[in-house]
Amino acid sequence: MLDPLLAANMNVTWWLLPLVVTVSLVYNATRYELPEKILQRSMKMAVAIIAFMGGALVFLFLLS
Amino acid sequence: MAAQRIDLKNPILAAALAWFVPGLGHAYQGRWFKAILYSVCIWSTWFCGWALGDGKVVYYNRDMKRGRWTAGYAAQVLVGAAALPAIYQNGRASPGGKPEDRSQIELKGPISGTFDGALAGVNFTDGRKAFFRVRGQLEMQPSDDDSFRRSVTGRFTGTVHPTDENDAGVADGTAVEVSVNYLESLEPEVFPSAHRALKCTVKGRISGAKGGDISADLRGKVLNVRSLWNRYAAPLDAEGLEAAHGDLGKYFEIALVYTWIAGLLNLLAIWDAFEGPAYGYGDEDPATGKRPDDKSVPPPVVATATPAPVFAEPPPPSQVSATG
Repeated sequence: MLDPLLAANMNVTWWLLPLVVTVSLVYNATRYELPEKILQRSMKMAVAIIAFMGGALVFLFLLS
Repeated sequence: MAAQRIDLKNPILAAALAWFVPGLGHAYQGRWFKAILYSVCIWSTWFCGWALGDGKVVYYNRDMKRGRWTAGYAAQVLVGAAALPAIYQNGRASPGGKPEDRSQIELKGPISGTFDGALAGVNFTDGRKAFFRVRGQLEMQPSDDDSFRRSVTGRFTGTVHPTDENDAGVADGTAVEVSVNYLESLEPEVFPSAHRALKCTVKGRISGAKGGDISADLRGKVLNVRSLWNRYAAPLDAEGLEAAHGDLGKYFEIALVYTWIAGLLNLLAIWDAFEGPAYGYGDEDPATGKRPDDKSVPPPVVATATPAPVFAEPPPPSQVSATG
């Protein structure tokens, strides 16, 4: 079970990052076969998702 | 087609293996990079969710009487072997097609171990009332007395830890010894926790306390008494679900989402094992779509003029007059 102290001090948003990485890798692995191409496209996709989510976060923060 | 450059072997078998164990289908096809990538990504997401949810988020609960079932399991079962035991565990936990009521569950055999819980509603013989945290050793077994179906015999010995608001004059760490006589509530045998919760009525004595004879409710958990077989992918009943939400808070939902996403990602991997990569091998020329080793010259594109429409010539006037 998760350490309660760690859980209390950790923002849930950080749990998004591992998901972004795995989703990018698996999605692009189903699009291409070459490892270099998969890794290259995954990195672009992960950066794009994080940038988009970060932008949404900033937008919502400014609105609030 | 990328699939023509990849030996997919038997695609149906590969897809079945990819479903059963993420990464196994691609290993069967000899696509080792993808086999490792899928297994690491999908398994890590799955077990991260499983651990984050304290092993309580992967289950299938079908209440036949109410016509309800756990819809999220449809995503989890896409991970294959790791989620399949949930179907069997649901059958064990709900033999009548309905989760058992804790107030009706009987103790089928002896249970003993470290107990952590509380003595609630403590009534001293002199009229004082109190509530204590307790920790100690509990031993309990079904009673031979057939007059009450849920009669049990047993003993709890441990120490009491009074709360600040209501210590009833009892010092912290005072020894307590009580006998158990009636089981009010018992957690199911098949349940996703190593500890087993129960509630029973007790009578006994708190050492050295004035008017130390007491009657009370003993409620809490016997620690580490449930085997892995009885807890892996076991369903939560209504009380268990409520307690899990209380214990884990928002992490219960995050853990659920992790296991769902692991299953849905494996759906993509299953299709990749069956059909090959969707866009191509990855080394094609973006402009022509050709492979690097493809030296064939594309046929020249020749501009052709639009052909003039062909009309049938009208018959000569002599034929027209003859037929007319």
